[in-house]
This record gives sequence, C-alpha cells and structure tokens, in this order.
Amino acid sequence: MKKLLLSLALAFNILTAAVAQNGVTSDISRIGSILSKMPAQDAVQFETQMNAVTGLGEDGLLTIISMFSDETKKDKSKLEYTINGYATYVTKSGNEELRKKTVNALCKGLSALNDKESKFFIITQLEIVGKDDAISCLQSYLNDERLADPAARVLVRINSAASNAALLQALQQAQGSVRISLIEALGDTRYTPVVQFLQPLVSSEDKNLAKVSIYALANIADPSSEKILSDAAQKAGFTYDITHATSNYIVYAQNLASNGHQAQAVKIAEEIMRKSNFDKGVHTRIAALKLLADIQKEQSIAALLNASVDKHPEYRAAALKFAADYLTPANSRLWIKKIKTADPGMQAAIITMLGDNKSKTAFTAILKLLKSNNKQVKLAAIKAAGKIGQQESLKPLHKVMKKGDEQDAEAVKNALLIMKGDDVTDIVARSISDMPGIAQVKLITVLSRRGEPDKLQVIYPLLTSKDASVRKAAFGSLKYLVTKDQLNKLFTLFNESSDYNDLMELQDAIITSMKDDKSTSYDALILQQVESAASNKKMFYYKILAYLGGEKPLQIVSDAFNSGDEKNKAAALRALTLWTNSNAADKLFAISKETNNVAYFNEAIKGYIKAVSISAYTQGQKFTMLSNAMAIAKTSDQKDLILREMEKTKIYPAMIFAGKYLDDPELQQRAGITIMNIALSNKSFYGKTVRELLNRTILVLKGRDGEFQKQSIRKHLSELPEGEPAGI
Amino acid sequence: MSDHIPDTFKNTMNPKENNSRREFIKKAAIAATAFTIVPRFVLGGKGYIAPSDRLTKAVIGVGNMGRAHFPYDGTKVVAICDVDRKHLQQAAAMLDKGVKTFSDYRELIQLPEVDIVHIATPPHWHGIMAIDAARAGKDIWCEKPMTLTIGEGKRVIEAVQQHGRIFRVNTWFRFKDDFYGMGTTVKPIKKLVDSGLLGWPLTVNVGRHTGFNWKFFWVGKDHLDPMPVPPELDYESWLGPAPYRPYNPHRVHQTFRGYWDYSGGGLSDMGQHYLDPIQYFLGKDDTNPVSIEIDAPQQHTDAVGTWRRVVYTYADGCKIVLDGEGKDVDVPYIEGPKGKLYPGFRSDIPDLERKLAAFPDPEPQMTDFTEAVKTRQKFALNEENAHRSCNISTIGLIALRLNRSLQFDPVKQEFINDEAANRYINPAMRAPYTI
Repeated sequence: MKKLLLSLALAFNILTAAVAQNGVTSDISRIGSILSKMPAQDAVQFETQMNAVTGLGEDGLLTIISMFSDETKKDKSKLEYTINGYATYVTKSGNEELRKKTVNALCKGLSALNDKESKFFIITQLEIVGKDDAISCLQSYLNDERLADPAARVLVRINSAASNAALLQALQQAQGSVRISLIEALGDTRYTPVVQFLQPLVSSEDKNLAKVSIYALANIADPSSEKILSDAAQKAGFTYDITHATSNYIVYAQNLASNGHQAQAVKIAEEIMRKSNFDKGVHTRIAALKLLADIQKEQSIAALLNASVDKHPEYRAAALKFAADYLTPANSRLWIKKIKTADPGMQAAIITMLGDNKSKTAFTAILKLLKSNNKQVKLAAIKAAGKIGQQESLKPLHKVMKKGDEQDAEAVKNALLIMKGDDVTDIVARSISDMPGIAQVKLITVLSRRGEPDKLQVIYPLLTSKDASVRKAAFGSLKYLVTKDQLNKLFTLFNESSDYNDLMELQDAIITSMKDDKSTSYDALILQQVESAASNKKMFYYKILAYLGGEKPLQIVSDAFNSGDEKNKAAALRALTLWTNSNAADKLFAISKETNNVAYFNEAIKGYIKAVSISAYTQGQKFTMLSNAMAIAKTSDQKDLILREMEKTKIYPAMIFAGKYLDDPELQQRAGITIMNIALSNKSFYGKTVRELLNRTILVLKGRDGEFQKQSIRKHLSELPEGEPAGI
Repeated sequence: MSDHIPDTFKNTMNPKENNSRREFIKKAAIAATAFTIVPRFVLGGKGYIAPSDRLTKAVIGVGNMGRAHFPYDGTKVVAICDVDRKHLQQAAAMLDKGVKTFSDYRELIQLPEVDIVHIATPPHWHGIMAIDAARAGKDIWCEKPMTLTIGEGKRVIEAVQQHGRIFRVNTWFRFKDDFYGMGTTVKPIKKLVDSGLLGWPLTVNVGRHTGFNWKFFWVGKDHLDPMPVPPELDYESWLGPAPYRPYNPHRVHQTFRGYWDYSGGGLSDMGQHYLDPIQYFLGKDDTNPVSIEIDAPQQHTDAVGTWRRVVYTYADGCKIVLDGEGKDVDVPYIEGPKGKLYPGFRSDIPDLERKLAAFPDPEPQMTDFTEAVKTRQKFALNEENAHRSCNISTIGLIALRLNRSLQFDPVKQEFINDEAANRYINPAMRAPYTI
C-alpha cells in the first residue's frame, strides 16, 4: 500500500508539473491511475490499461509524453511502460486509426521535448509505429549528431519512396558520422538514386565512409558500380579488410544475379576466382565458386568437377559441398566417373558426398568399391552403401565383414546400428554363426543394442566360445536381452561360472530379468540362492540384494560389510549406496560415523545423502538427517552436496542452517545460493532474520551470475512485507 | 547457478580428447575425406610461432566466458581481443608471452596465423563478428545464443557457407552430456521420438519441474542513471551495432543479459541450450514453430523482464511449453498420444527400453570441432540448425516485447500479418557497422 501511495504521489507530481508547463487539461486522476498501475501484470490488465490510454485521446497521450520534460524526476520508467506499451498495442491488427493518432502525438511530443535522451526514447517508439506519417517529424533530426542514427533507423523501417527521399535529401548536407549513418541507411533500403552520389566515396581515405559506401552500392547492385567495386576489392587484395570491399563485391554480384544480370555476375565470379588464386585468398575463391554454382546450378558441374582436384583442400571440400546442393542422377554419374581418376582421398570424399545425399544412382558403383584395396575408400563405401541401400546393402556388407579386419567390421557395425528395416536383426542373427570372431563381437553389439529377446538363442552358444572377446561380448549382451523367463537359466549360468567378469555381467542380467516382472516378489528365491552360494560368490549377489531393497537383504549386505574381507566390504558398501530405496540410509550413516577409512567414509556419506534424497521422508525429516550428515562431513565437496540437498527441502530451517556457512570461503557461494533459492521461493519467509540473511548473501555472491542474483535478492527484499510474520 | 560455466569448459574441452600430432596424422591417413588441412602453425613462415600440431585460436571477448575457453585441447590461443583493457590484461597474464592483444577484432581476424576465431562477446556482437570472421577465412566457434536477430542468423549462414567455413555454436546437449533434468543424454530421447512409440504430435515441457531453470534473475533495471564510462572501457566499441545509450555499469559485462539491445535474459541465454536438443529430437532442424503464445507481465522498452509461460506450436501440432513459474507439477517432459516420458527416462509405456531397443539409432554426429575443422566436415551443431534453434528464443522474445502472441512463417522466417513484429527481424545497425 505504501508503495502504491508513493507511486500515485509521484504520478501526481509529474502531472502537476506537466499541466503547469503545457496547459494540458486532461483528466489528471485518470492519467495518474494509469501510471500507477504500470507495468501491466498480464494480458487482461494490459488490455484494460491500453483501453484507458485510448480513452485519454491524442491530447492525453501528448500530456503523458510531455511529462518526460520534468527534469526533477529522473526515473521515467512509468512513462516508458505507458508509451511503449501503447506503441506496441496500436500496431495490433485493426488498430490503424489509433496508430495514426499515436504517431501524431509522438511527433508533437518529440518536437516539444528538449532532452535528447527523451527524444531518443520517442524516436525508438516511432520505430515501432511509424509509417510515412512519421517522416516529416524525423527529418529535422537527420543532421543531429546524437539523433541522426535512431531517426535514420526509423526511416529504414518505413522504407518507402518518401522515407528514402528524406534520407537522400538529408545526405546532401550531411558530414562526418551523420553522413555515414545516412549512407548505411540508404544501403539498407537499397535506394538506387543514391548510386551516383556514393560511387566517388568508395575511394575515400575515411575507411568508415568507404565501407558504408561500398556496402550501399553492393546492396543496390546497379550494373554501373562494377568497375568501382572491382577496384576496391583489388585494393583490399581480394581478402578481408575493414572496408569489406571483397565480401561486398561478392554480395554485389549475388544481387546482380538476383536482379537478372546473371552474365555480368558470372563474369565477376570468374574474375574473383582468378584474382584470389593464392593460398590466403582461398576463402574468397570459394565464395566465387559458390556464386558460380548458385547462378549456374546443375550447369556448374564442370566447374565443380574441376574444383574437386584443386591443390587446396579447403577448395576441394567446398566444391563437394556445393555439388551436393545440385546433385541429379545425371551429374551423379559424372561424380562416379570422377572416382575412377581421383586419388583415394578424393574418392572417399566423393563417395561420402553421394552417400550423405542418398544417391540411388551411385549405389551399384559404391557396392563395387566395397572391395577396394584402399582403406579410406573401403570405409567410405561401407558407410555410404548402408545409407543409400539400407536393408538392401545387408548382404554385401556381411561379405565385407566376413573377410574384413576390425576396422571394416566396426564400420559395418556402425552402418547396421542406424539401418532402417524390419528384418535387420533377423538377418544379422542368422549370419552370426558363420562369422569370424572379430565380426561376431561387432554383431553381438548390434543384437544387444537392437535385438529382441528371441535373439538370445544365437547368443547362448557364444557364451562358450573359445574366443575370449566373443565370450565377453556375449555375456555383456545378456543384460540387454533377457526377460523374466530367463531367470532360471541365468542362475544356472551363475552357478556354473567362476569368472569375475562373467559373474558381474550375470548379476546385471539377473536384475534385468527381475525388473521384467515387477509384480513378482523375488526375495525368497534370491535369499535362497545367496544362502546356497559358495562363499566366494556371495559378493556377486549384493547388487541384486540392493535391487530387492528389503530388510533381510539389508541385513545380509550389512553383515558382509561388518565382517567380510576387503573385497566383500567394498562390494557391500557399493551395494548399499545403490540401494533401491532409503532403507540403507541408517547403515550408511553408521558406517560414516564409525569408519576410519577415508574412501569408505566418502562413499558412505555420499550414499547416505543420496538415500535421504530419494526417500519419502518429510522435508523436515530430510533436513534433520542432512544436518546430522553435516555434523560429520569432512570435505567441502561433501558439505557442498549436503547444502544442495538442503536447498531442495525449501524449508525455513534449511535456509537458516545454510546461513552458518556464509562466512566459510569454500562454501559461502553454495550457502548463498541455497539461502537465495529458498527465500525467493516462498514469500511467507520474511522478517528481520530473513532480511539479515539475504543482505549477508548479497555481500557474498560473486561470479558470472552474481550481479543478477544480488539484483533479484534486492528486488525480493523490496517486495517483502514489513515486520515479523506470526508463527515461524 | 553459475555451475554451467566450468561445465561448459569441461564438457566441450575434454582434455582426454587427444589431438596430438601423431593421433592427428593417424586419423588423417584413414579419414574418409580428402580435405585434411594443415594447421597454420605447421605452415611456419616469418614471425610464426614454432611448428605445432595444434590449431591456432583467437578469442574475442575475454571476460569470464572467453577466459574459460582458453585451454581446450588441440588448440593454442595466439591472439585475444577485448574492448575492456582490464579484461585484456587479465587474460594476457594467463597466456604465453607471445600472445597478441587487440582492442579491435577487425585487426585480429586478419592475422594469417589464426585458424579459429572464438566469439565470447555479448550476443549483439555475435552476428557481425561471425560474418566478418567467415569473410576473413576463419573457422568459427561462437557462444550461444548464435545471434541477436533472425536477420543476423540468416546472414551468418550465408557468409559461413559462401566462404566454406566450419562453424559451431557453443552448446552441446544434442550430442553430449546428460541433458539438464532428464538424467539422460539426448540420444535415447531422439531414438524414442523417431521410433514413434510416443505417437505424434508431441508436447515438450521445459520448466523447473522437468529440470530446467529459466534464470529470471537475468532481468534488467527499468531505470538506469547515466554514469561516467570507466577509463579502461571503450564503451562506443562495446555498444558496436547497438543503439547508443548513456553508460551505466549494469548495461555491460556480467549484467548485459538484462537489456534487449544486447541479449534477452534467460530465454535468450539458456534458450539455445534447452531448445536446440528439442528441435533436434523433434526432427525440426530445418524449420520453426508457426505460433507463439505468451503469458507475461508487460515488458519494458529497454530492460528485459520475466514471463510466466511461452507456448510454441509447430505446423504439425508439436508443442514446446516453456514453464517459467514451475507451476507444471508432475507433467511429463514429453507427452504424445501413445505415451509420456518423464525425467530419468521414466515412462508410462511398459517395458519402454526393450521396445525401443529394436529401433535404429539416430545417425551419428560430428562432435569434435577440431576434427571438423581439420577435415572440413560440418559440425553437429552448425550454422543452419543452430540458427533455427536460436530462432525459437528470438521469436518468443519478440512476442514478449510486443506484449502479444504471434504467428510465424518458418519458410520465409517472417511473422504473419504483423509489421511491428517483422521490424524486429532485421533491425538497422548503428553505423558504420554492417553485415
């Protein structure tokens, strides 16, 4: 309420001053009311406010604009919200009459204001609403050092014959930076009558003047400017300089072509290609090639084929990229022909281009290249064959795999992983038994990533492969393929196995199998398996027990940690940290408190924090548990993690708790952010303590976001109720 | 809140990604390309630093962000530029003595020894600098958002492609790292969307509940008193193409994001991080939404404000909902007619992961920028798709500035029947700056 009264008082003061100065007789209370409610908080309020401004009429709007001249009031934001809001409002479809009235008011107001920054604001509003009706009131600013640039911008937006004529008229008298602004504006609008005026300025010693003149001439693209722009590019050495002579010569040629002067543009492209044929000019030469390709399209094939054997790799690469834009069956055949004469690197590049563009014409030729003796060519052909042929390429790719090396097999695997088609995995599964070990490993990966459970029938025999890498891949694939139906088979495998890695993989596969049927309780079955397992195999059940998550599994794993050897301890602790629910929290906390082992402590306390995080405890309970963790935490890393979790509780005590760490250099940023995020998320947190905490936080926060964060805290503080809340 | 700065560095510049000379030569020998270029250091020549296998890099804008990008693997910083002398001095102190320092980027990009220009300035400079760097024959690494306006983005595409350059924007979630609150990379999300298991069209919710923070503290002040420009800052050059406004420290450096002339708050700055992966997995890399609906307080003409909700709709009915207030509780991240996906890849589709496995993976992407530069291959997040993802933020911001919902033509990249909105597409620049 206090703030509202202050705002109204402010509005009244402004209004009184305005009335005194201008003799405006608008309804003071209506304007005061509008200003006091700005900015609008939503669309409904905005509509209401704008309707109220409409109700004031043009005179009322002018009165508001006149308030900008009140030099005693520095903060003009209420006025700005009102005028800018209305400027946007009247540009809505159907508001043309209001727009015209607004332009009238802005123009009248503009001439009446003295302060240049206020005038600047009004001109920027004309940039939103102005049409030809705004030109006359802007003309007088086109030779004003401060305002010529914004006024010219408005005329660029209007971009009519009248606005361009106004810019040209002002240009005749303009000097210095104003002249530069006007020339750029006429370049933006592509106003042809300025060409004769600009052509001599291209050779000016003033680089900025030369630059904007070249820019404008390139945009306008009058055929008569060719020699002047060519000379400027020559002077710049056909590469970048601050006048942009070279790049704008290319822009000029592009615009010539767009305007129907293709022959002249081609001539320029060829000139640039010739004159930029030196190492540092390659990017310019590429630009000329692109220009040529864009003009001649499919007909540019000869130039592109020629460019593909250029000495410069960047130029060759560009030629193929441009070729892709205009690829047809006819010119695909020319590229295929080119493969025969190109060096292997270029062959591979052409193949890649044809593959990326899925050139069906090239498919047969690319299949032949699968037999290439050159590795670069062969790998490119594998990739391209898969992309073009999809499932059609499976048979030839399998042949490659059967006789190829690891690189070939890897390339085929990658092609298969992205290959579309319903039969891909079936065909892969059928072929796997005939493949060499290198290929089998890759195909197992394909089946495990893409395969359905029925593919297990081809995986199981490979679990006993004599090739260790095949066996390893096969075991690794189980967790992706098994369902609940394989559980017994997995236990059998588990009981038969003695290999550490196999057992680790089987552990994950058993969990996958159980996850497949969440309606069944597996506790009894697993506990029985644990009971009967050899002592050296029990540790491979801990992760499975963690998945079950019950009291008995917890007891087994806890006991293993308490009385096991180092291997068992490590496995048990890892399982506790992976516990599927929060049941392991107490045990993890107990380990944290009791252990002298630094690594165990770190793992246990972090596991405890995670258990708290995933638990269903109330936020208050979580806060207490995290406070307990903080009491024993040792490193800043651990404490930081606790503060992060504290923040998630969003409760008052957590905010107060974080305040204890505002003076700790290593934790003060995290503490500050915790306090800020909790405080700003709940406006019922206020009072002296909250204010003090937030003010201390402002002193602490730094870094890229620091200033913004401080600003948002200050804003929040300014909006908090005074006094103390009841009941916190 | 600022956690993503070091992550940016870590995630994109993994020191383990070995780009040693030996590795480079080995890769070059079998790479499926004919275009392996030689880093400019290797070319040697008078005044050049001793031959090296690393690409050379120049960084423009060496405040916090720019400095965080000095040490990424496979490159060496040979030149830096800033319009703030203090920044330049602090940055130079972190680098080899031979590093060249500039206050005018136009001089820096003419250095023949530079391969890559890294643009880490405020966004109102991104477009001009990227275009000029392309015209100077440099490859470009640009901070997000790619550009401030739609018009600049279109010109960046033209300049980069015209001059055969390699370009990337510095966001990476479409190909790397867990994607904010999703608890997964984008790849399986893309695979899921492509599979059709969720049905079509899809609605994607980007808000606090789904793990995204819109950083509303990045707002401006609606009243700034003019203040003297500090002697170390060339304020005219800092403003560059933006309209002249009297100096106040809140306009520059860390707080520039709060002003329309230079940025657009959290939606501009975080928008491309959050929205680019969505464009990617929806398969919309070459298009944009057709309508933008907003719910927001009225915006100030200079200072960026907050918003409550922005809803984008594509021509096929797909939607992106930006939930600014975090009010959408228990909403899925993606919802389709056949199923929903929640953070952590949870879904109401039974046995989702197994069903999904049968589908092909998304096509692999080129995710190593130095490799892309050396072999002249298009980077995963390049000038074209980055422009489109930048557009999403930009069209939302224009709707906010006009206090109304808008219709957009993604082919022409213009608003439909709204001249005022179209005036924001390619606003004139302050002379003598041009693109």
